[in-house]
Amino acid sequence: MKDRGKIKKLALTIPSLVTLAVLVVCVCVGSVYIPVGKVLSTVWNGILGRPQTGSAVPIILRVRLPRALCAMLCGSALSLCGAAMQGLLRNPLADGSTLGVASGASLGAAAAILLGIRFPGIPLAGTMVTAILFAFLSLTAILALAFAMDRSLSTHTIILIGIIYTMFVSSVMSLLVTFSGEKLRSITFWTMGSFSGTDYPQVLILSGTVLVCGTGLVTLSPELNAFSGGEKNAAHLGVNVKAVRFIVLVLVSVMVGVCVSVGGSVAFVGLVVPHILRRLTGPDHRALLPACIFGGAVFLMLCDLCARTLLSPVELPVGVVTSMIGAAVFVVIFYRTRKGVR
Amino acid sequence: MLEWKDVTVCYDKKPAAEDVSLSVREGEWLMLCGPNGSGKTTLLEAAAGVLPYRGSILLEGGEVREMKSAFRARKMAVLSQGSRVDEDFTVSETVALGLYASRRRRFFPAPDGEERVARALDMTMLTPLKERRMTELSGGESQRVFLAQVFCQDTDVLLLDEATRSLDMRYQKEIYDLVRAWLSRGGRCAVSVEHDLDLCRLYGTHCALLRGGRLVASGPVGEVMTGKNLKNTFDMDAEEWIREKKSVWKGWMESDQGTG
Repeated sequence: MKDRGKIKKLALTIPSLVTLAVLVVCVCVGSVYIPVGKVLSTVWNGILGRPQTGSAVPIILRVRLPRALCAMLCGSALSLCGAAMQGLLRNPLADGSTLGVASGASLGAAAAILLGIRFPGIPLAGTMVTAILFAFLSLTAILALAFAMDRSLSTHTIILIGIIYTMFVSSVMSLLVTFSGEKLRSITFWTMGSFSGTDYPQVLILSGTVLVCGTGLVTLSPELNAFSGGEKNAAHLGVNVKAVRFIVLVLVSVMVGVCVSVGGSVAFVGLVVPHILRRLTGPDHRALLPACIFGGAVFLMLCDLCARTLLSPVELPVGVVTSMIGAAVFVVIFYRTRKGVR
Repeated sequence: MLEWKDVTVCYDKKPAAEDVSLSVREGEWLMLCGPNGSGKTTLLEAAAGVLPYRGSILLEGGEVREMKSAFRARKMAVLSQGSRVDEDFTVSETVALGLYASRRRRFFPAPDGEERVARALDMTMLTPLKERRMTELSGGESQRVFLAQVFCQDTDVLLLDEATRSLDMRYQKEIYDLVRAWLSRGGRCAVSVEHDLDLCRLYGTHCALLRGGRLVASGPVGEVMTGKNLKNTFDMDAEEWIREKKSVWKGWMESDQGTG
């Protein structure tokens, strides 16, 4: 028993240290290399509120650190969402983006930008609230359509409707872009995904969202395990299926909505990370979901690092990097499923 | 232990089961028989709390619809046909899912969880396969794992919805023998939806015949499964059909092929 306790402690300590190390690397590396010591001392002094001088200080504190933190938190959130949706829908290819929820959130953000929706006194709230609302409405619309077509709500139907919905949303987005005029640049941002220009208010909002919704999803791990035998089996095991399904969908919609409002549409994170981690932790959501918090953070921070350094000084949208990796993993998953390879 | 009182269940306002009253007592194994669409599974699912119903379904004196899911699952387990897990769980992990309703706190399993899993694996002779992945098992082995899962739930009432459908006769016998052994430990009862009348006669203590959502007859198997009742239920000369089947088997048993 003592050994098991030790393993559990290590299981949390090692991923935490790796995540921190990657965070430090992301702040160090860029068009200007900043030594690790300088980064650590600047951040420490920044936390203590000590006055600092030098050209590296604003790069670290105003540009790279909030950006890396946003990527870290979005990565955690999107991976959690992917793992939860895959568990809930019993489909390895499900996540916020494949089901059209992320597209819906992007549409909400674009509509907010175009129509100038704002909440006085709360910066970013208009875009964020609209993105979350559209994410939830999208999910409701997809499930309602799927239910109308197929009462058993088979995952194939949900994914098919999700794909159709994504295509529909992309056509509406094209329409918005056509009439966007000078707001074209801002709208394009949501469709490609980028953490450029993110600041501490976004970090704060993301932290709160991941803390509340992420904890909620992790708490539902035993229920998600019970879903592995199907909804009916879960109900027979004692799960309140309707309540769990509703809570998971709401939590996922809020997290995807907030992530899209901060970093735009960053595809495939929720698909790739849970799949990689499932091979390490197994299918048990009690291990998988906490692993996704760290794995997603590391994955998206590294993708963002690639996005801003690979073709430096040109910066790639992070969504392009994640999509390239995601598409490759998608093909591997399909291949392995078809061939029955483990 | 389980009682249906004037139960009506509707799909899209059309009754699939109408004014059915039935009861199962300790030590009994009730077989629900009837043609397709006669309301057998509907009655079972209503009792399992999956379908809404009118009337009353009492589980150990409590109304099923008023019970919380976890409370109900601690009293009654359900084994459906062709159950499967999509995730890459092992046999023992799948069986342990049966502990869900008994866990003390959210992340802490039932105190006697490990013991219950081991016992369920042992009862179903799955101990040698406990580390195998579910995706590596045959249909029959997989169904046996789900039977172990319901045994692991450690309930007194067991509902089986065509649990051996699509299984070959070896697995059919295996599953039914296991349920009979489980039932023999006392204080328990089982209800099965079954199409195979031979299995009903062989394993059931009681039988309810249904047709068009209504009860044709119910009672001890020997009293209910008469030629007249079967004819009223299946709208065919079931007696003649059973006799015909019997004669084929009898001929085969008496021939060299049968004895060889």
